[in-house]
Amino acid sequence: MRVPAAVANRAERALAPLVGFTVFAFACGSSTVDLLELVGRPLRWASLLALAALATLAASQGEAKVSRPRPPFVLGGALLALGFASAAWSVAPRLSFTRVASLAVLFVAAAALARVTSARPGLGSRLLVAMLAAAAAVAAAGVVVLLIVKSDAVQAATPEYGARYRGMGQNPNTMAALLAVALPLAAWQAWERRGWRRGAAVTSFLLLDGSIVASGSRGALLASFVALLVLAVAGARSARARAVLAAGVLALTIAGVGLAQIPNATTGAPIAPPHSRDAQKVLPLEAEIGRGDPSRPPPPIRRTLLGGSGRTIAWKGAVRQAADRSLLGYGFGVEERVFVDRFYYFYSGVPENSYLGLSLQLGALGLVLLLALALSVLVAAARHLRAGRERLLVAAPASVFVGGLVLALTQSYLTSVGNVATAAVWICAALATVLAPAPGISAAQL
Amino acid sequence: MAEARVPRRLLLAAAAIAAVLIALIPIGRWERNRHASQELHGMREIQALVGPIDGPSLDAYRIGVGFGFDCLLYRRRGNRFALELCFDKQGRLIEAIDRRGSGDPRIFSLREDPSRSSVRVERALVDRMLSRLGAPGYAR
Repeated sequence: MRVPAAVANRAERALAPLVGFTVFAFACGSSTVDLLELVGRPLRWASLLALAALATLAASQGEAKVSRPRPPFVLGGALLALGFASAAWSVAPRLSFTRVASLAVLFVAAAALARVTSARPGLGSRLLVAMLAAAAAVAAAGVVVLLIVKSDAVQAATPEYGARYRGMGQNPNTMAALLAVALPLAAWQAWERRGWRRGAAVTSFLLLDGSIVASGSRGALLASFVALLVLAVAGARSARARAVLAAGVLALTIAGVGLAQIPNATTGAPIAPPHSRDAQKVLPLEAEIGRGDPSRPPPPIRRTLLGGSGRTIAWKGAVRQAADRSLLGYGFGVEERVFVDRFYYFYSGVPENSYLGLSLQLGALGLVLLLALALSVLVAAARHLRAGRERLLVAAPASVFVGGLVLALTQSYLTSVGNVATAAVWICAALATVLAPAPGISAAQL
Repeated sequence: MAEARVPRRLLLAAAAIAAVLIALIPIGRWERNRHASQELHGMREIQALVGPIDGPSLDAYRIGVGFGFDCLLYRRRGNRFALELCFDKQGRLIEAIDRRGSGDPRIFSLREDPSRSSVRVERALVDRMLSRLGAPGYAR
């Protein structure tokens, strides 16, 4: 369907602000501030639908330049198709259908944005800046919450953790996830811009990085480190510049990790379990494995730099569950319903690993499709980088996507659209893809 | 000519994907049924170890855990929580745990899909056992 050019142009102009608004709305939907959450929960879906509609409208104006579908879009479509089909064997068919429908809306929005951007590369830059602005606004809102209601912005120290900053997020890992994937966008702007724009980018970088460090989120620290490293290596033109930038990223991360270790956990003597007929008071089902003898006081839990979150044992449990329905899984979107936290050292309703989470949902076939999709995006981005055009413009979204893939190792979020970071990561994946030369598109056309 | 080929290829690809997806449905359902029967087999085994659910070794309970199910726990030797059976509100057995060994417990569960459980008991009997143990909301 063709729409009048004026309508499509207006739609295109609205895309960057709407992308920023959507990212911010998703952050509000995961906020600890009741009012923000109340408004953000419906608003995030409305803004995502509006984004998909507007992007599709804007994309409908351009000529079809692509002679055949690109692998990332084919694989994305295949993942969605498998997700829809999984409703037929899901433990919760309706839930599977609605969850995969929300991912389909996000993928449609991302693909349409990619199509518009392929015709107008300048739009890609504006979309990325809008996402950075949204992340900076989220970080700034966290500081405001800290100033107004400190108890909302800081999670009090426990015997396991020192006090952790969570800003406007529900927990310290929530906002840190978005800020970690947005950090390379701030670095990209600080690198490329001059004057006040560089100053704003540097300020955003410090705000984002400071918030991540204060959160003590180890997964976010790792993801931001890898994302910045990718940006440095992919964006620099000489080997010397790459080495200097990589050393800088390493030094920054080491300093951040060091600062994140400062807050002290509280101390408390372990309490012997009561003698009760209520087994949940003595040996809770959700904290049984790894607890040891239930008649003795529970062992202390101490979080360290590389351990103590209980993820390893929870991941083993998730692998065992996934193996029970290894080929096609339990159904898309049912990860939280299927995964059972029975682990003393672990506290979450999901395995906190997107790859294991998808294995539970769609089995080995779903995992292979996701990995193939991720690989196809990286290959497309690498192809453009090798061509040497607009290195930073393609390195920026590619580094966001790589950061997102690393974050997925420690958080279950990559296919959960309601998560704070999911929309930004997939939109960046699509942008990194279209900036690569596709079959049928010449360099001049790009 | 080239323009005409693209839609045809796309149609063929879409038809192939649809055929694959349709073929996957019975496989997915077979996996679901196989998993359910394996879990049911394990749950029946532990139910047999327990014997009558109102037996004298009944020693503890849980109420309203997980998605709102209730459990009865049975003593074996010195272990108060050796065997555990969990029931939903319809009386379906949805989880069974054997803690008699020294390592991790043996767990069989259909808590993610209780409708697959074909093992049922009279729910009123479960409620009477909870009452006997003094569970809040069930106590006489």
